[in-house]
Amino acid sequence: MDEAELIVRCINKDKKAWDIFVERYAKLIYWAIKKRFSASSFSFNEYDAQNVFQEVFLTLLENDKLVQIKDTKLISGWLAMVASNKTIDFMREKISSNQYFAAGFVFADNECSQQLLSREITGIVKELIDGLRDKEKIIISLNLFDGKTHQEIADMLGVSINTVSTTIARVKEKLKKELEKKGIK
Amino acid sequence: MTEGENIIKQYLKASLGENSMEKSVDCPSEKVLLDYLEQKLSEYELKTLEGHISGCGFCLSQLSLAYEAESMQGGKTLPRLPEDLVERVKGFVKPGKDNKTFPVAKKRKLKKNLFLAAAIIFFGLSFVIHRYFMQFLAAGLICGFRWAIDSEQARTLIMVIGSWRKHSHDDDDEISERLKDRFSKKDL
Repeated sequence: MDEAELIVRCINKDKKAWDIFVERYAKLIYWAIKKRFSASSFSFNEYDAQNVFQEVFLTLLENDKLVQIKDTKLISGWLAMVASNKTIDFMREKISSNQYFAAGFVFADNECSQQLLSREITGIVKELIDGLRDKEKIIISLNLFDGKTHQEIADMLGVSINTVSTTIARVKEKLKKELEKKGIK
Repeated sequence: MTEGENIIKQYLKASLGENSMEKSVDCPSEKVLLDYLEQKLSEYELKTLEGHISGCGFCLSQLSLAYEAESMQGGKTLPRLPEDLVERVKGFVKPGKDNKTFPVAKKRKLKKNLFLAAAIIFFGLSFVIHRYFMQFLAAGLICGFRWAIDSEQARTLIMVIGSWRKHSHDDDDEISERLKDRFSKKDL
């Protein structure tokens, strides 16, 4: 059964198709949930991950949410994003009920980052980043904020690897020059 | 990692990391992000979306996750999960039953439209009980606004307006035509 047919049959609540769908994507959804928990430095256990896991599948059934992807080829990507959203909802609920203080690490970490950079350097970097085109900002962010390789960024954005490498090198070179001008090495 | 890279990384972490857990009202839907990865967007849609993504840690992390999920098929080993959990999820759809009247789904749909129902009721009451006309009207508007910002169309509208305000107004007529095209598409 191909993906498109599987999705249509799941929308129609076909039991056999649903079982195949769950078998095919369960591990991927579980991986996405755990990845989002870890990326947010959230202290979670298997029980939390399993709760979110069930929530994701409930969400897929309700309101015919699967209709959104019946024409797309990137089903895994869409499912990972839905799982990530559900994980965020779960974390937000836990934070608001003060059950998990560990989630505060995300914000504490950001404060540390801001403190590490002096106001002068922050101003230079801000000016540099603000002066970039949107696509260039995305390239820099994916590389330095998200840790993606040049090749991965090129694949993701549909640009050549040369464009990615040149953009990153140019920004770094520009920053180096600006910092040197201010006498910062 | 060089010193320069480290400085930029810290800056991005501070500026983008703050909202990496928050989906704001102007964040696009998952479908639009997938269209971006599949390079299906028009030039104008692309410009609008990139304007948003370049400053949104949440959307960047969603895009990155979607890309990893797509590229890992048959690659990385995925985590094992308990067999009974899989069976429980499979049990959400019962064999031979009318699963279209899914009780949890119905309940949630009702909850989602609660604000719309409240808005209509308050609006109606404002005309019935003249003494509290303004109070009911205000309550109706608040509930209506709350319901509207929850919908995907509202998110898209806010994103487009945000981008329109950010960019030059020289080509207003052209933009308004594209806005009409955008909202005539079912998925957006």
